[in-house]
Amino acid sequence: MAGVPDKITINVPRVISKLDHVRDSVVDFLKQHAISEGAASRIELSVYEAVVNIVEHSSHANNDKTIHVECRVHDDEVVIIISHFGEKFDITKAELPNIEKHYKSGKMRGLGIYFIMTLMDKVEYSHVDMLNTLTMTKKI
Amino acid sequence: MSVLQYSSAKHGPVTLITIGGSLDAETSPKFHAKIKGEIEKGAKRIVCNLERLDYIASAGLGVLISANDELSRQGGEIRLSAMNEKIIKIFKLLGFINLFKIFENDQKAIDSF
Repeated sequence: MAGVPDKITINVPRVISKLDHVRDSVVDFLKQHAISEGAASRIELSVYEAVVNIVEHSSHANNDKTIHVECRVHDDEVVIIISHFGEKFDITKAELPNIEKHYKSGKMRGLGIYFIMTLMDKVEYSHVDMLNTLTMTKKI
Repeated sequence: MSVLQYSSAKHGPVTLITIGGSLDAETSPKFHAKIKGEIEKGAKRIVCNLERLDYIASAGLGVLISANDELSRQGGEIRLSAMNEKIIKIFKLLGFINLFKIFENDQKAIDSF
């Protein structure tokens, strides 16, 4: 789209109260690209769950290191790359809950990864030299 | 910074909770404490009005599921009302739309108990 950058990058501290900034920035960027509400909503939910997951589950030893989020719009897809330093945790290998059973068991946690894996078309993970990189793709 | 609006009122045996703003990882602990407080005070039949809810993350859904589970063990239930289009879409996308009983307005939800 003419005049609109094809990517944004956001660096956010590992603090829960700062993470809505990531969500808002990505949503604004997707609006500038006239991405459909349905796709934008899926991306908004997934990006937020991914950064929350990092803050809640990564080692406190890395609390001073920021999370880097990059969102790119291509012709037929949006690609979001989220990277942070820390221990390896491959969400693509995590066992997804059965939602009916999860609901009946009354569990409060464990839905974030389900959100991401359900809403994105492709999710890839790498861990190189302590750098975790999650790449999420949504067709548009 | 996310904001959660919360209010509650008694309608006979039903507690009507109105939630607005964002129910995400930041605000869900506050919501959890509030709804837990309602249950501890004896609320068994709860209607959550979600008309002014702008966003719900997994943490918010988790609180609703957990509170509903607590209530079901006491013979109670959470029912949802007046969900706006955005929140309905999120529930549909994630396969949660059939897990809760959903009503178009508060009165219908209250009368359903």
